[in-house]
Amino acid sequence: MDRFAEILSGPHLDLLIVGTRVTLYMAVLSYLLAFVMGNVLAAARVSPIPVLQRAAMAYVSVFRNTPLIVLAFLFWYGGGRAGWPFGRLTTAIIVLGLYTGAYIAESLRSGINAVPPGQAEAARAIGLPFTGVVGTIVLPQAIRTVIPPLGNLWIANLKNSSVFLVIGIDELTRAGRRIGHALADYTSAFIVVALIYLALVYGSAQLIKLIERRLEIAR
Amino acid sequence: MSEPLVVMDGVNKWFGDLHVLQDIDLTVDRREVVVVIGPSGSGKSTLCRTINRLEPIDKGTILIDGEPLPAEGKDLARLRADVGMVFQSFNLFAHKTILQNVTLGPIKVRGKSKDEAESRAMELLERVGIAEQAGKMPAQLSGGQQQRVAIARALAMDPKVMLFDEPTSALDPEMISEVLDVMLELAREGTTMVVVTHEMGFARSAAQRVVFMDAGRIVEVNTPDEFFNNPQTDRAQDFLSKILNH
Ligand SMILES: Nc1ncnc2c1ncn2[C@@H]1O[C@H](COP(=O)(O)OP(=O)(O)O)[C@@H](O)[C@H]1O
Ligand SMILES: [Mg+2]
Repeated sequence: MDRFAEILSGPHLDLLIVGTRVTLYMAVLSYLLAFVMGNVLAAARVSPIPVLQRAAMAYVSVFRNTPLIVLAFLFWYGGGRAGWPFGRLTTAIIVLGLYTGAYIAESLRSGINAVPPGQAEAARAIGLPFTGVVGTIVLPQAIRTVIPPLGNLWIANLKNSSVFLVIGIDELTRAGRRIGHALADYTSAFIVVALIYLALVYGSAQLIKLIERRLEIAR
Repeated sequence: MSEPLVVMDGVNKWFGDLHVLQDIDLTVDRREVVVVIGPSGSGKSTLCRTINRLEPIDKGTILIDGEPLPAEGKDLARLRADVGMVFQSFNLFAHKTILQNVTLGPIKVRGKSKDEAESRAMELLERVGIAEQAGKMPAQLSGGQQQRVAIARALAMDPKVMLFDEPTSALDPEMISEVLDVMLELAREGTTMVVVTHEMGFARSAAQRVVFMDAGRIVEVNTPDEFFNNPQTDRAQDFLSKILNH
């Protein structure tokens, strides 16, 4: 118990607080990027333009079939040499967002398939252009049908942020490693870190349920 | 000024090997109501849907108010706004309120202000008898009510012509007349309409012409009285005897 008290006070606590803050910051910003990417990719998949369809398909298959850690190394070290202009944290957020975006696109695609075709037809019939049909009528309904998988992707995205300790981001997992090293007690340090992740995930799950209920279409 | 509003000239369409529209020639005059009738699968819906190019055609030309239907893109979207369409399955936007269903097109397509669109929408909802339900979601309304909203949604675009594809076929019998009454009123006001329907009462009291389709062709065109009392072709006679003894 003394050990845990030690971890939860002084400089160790500061490390944990900063780490949690960075993890949440990364998770939120990368998810926002992922959500935008996912919508754009899903729209491209159902667009009448073959080039866009194929580009979206290629994107999704590249980002879903490459380990996240490889993408992290590729963008940070590989990108660094090729003139990649962004800093560490921004790079991490972009890479994570692009990665999760591929999964969100796939979720949304199944959501789009669940929207009756008559919805898009009625939208076309009143003269909405393709972007309006998809953006105003199809995607908003598709999103509602896939809130649970989108929630799971938020949780996966939050946990995946830990990968970026490999490019030196001071997020929660890296904070745990530092504390474990300082105290020569990785077990206690990572139990605390795991409990913090658990709390974040549990809190997210409650929030997702709330959002799902709010977005439900009244019948 | 007296040129027809819709002109279909030599229109052909295939679904794969199925020749679903064969040499369709049809003109619809301003303020005219044309009823399209025919057996299931004869191509009535497809014909209707080619008029606003929800289905592209393979051969022939279609003019709306003298303008040929443009290919997919901004011009087509603009032209579609001038052609109102009412579907068998209503297709109200499920995540929008009744009022939003009616204002969406005027705001997003016509660029009207929200206030302007809403006051016009309320007028139209009043006219179809749904004004009290303006804040509800589509799924909270009966089929007949939803279809009347769908009519209001189409009218909100101030279309030059209204297309109806079996607007009462999905309705319980007791709701059919509330929708037909609205359509009769539109016809009386001189709205140009193409109506796919088997409602003979509507055809007799509203239509100037009945177009009978069979197997992708227009087989007979006549006034409602002539068509129903004295069909010229065997196929029309056969079809009418079936729906009358039904
Ligand atoms: N999208 C489509 N793809 C392939 N065949 C179709 C499609 N839509 C309609 N058809 C076929 O075209 C024929 C005419 O259909 P339709 O115009 O709906 O007839 P109707 O409205 O008179 O019942 C039918 O045989 C139908 O199965
Ligand atoms: Mg039909």
